[in-house]
Amino acid sequence: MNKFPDFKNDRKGQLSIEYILVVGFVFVISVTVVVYAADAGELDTAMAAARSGAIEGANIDCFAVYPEKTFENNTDKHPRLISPSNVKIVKVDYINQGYNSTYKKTKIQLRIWASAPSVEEAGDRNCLGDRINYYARENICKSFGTQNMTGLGCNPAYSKKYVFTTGDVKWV
Amino acid sequence: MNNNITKYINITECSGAMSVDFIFAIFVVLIILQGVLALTSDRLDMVKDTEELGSARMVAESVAETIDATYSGGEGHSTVITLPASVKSEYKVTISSSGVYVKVDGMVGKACITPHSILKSGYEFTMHPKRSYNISTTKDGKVYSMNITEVS
Repeated sequence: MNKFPDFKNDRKGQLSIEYILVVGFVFVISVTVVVYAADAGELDTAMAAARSGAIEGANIDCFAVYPEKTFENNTDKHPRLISPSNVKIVKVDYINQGYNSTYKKTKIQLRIWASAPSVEEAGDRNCLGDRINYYARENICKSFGTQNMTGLGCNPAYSKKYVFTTGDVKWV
Repeated sequence: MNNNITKYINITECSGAMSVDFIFAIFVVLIILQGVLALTSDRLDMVKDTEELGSARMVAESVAETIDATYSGGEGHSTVITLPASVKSEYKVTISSSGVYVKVDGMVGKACITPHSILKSGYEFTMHPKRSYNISTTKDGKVYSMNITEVS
């Protein structure tokens, strides 16, 4: 009847030392991996949000449909931006600037490359870039629900462990 | 019959046991799904916002183009234009002598037109979705101007 005599030991709650070692080892590895994966996942989510935000900002620049204050400002100072233009996001990257004691979080600077061949003036491009950066930061704040923590223009944007700033958009 | 079925069922499944491989695979799939779903919903929201902005821009350009075409036709030329339904939030098109302005969800866009004076409707005229408007050119002395009325 009993083809597996080891089952007798199992019924007494006994486990082999090898099994306990393997389980312990796997547990330690799992904890390490989970902690690392959580950090990496947070940064990954933030970068995905930043990409979506940057594309949203570029779309707004493309359609030239702006929030009212920006529209008034552009009408006065950047009349070229009232007409639609071709703006594309080429690349979104980041630099880890290490732990920042002021924010008590790891500081990440977002770097966005974009292309706008139909807009040539530097002032106009700065204006387009500011919109792209703003929406990238705003989308990070929305993703982590930290709109209340941040200052004017969602600068800087916060997640649980990171603080995000943006450099000037690089035009290619 | 029962014996035939139980032949294909692993006895450990009957005890509610799952292999470590299976649990680990489910765990990994769940982590990936979580990321993908967050990204997908974020992108879908963005697409809807973009669609709204795009359609607002198209409406403004379409109205501006109609006004310019009607003006080019000269005295007595008229065109009826029907505005499309809103995508998400209700939009509003305002026509003034300086351009066609579209407002949607706190955002403003402008389509340029050749400057014309707007008759019988004050300095500007407001259009709403799903309504039809008659745009015509009239001549007052030597001055050509646009007359816009809602078609009931």
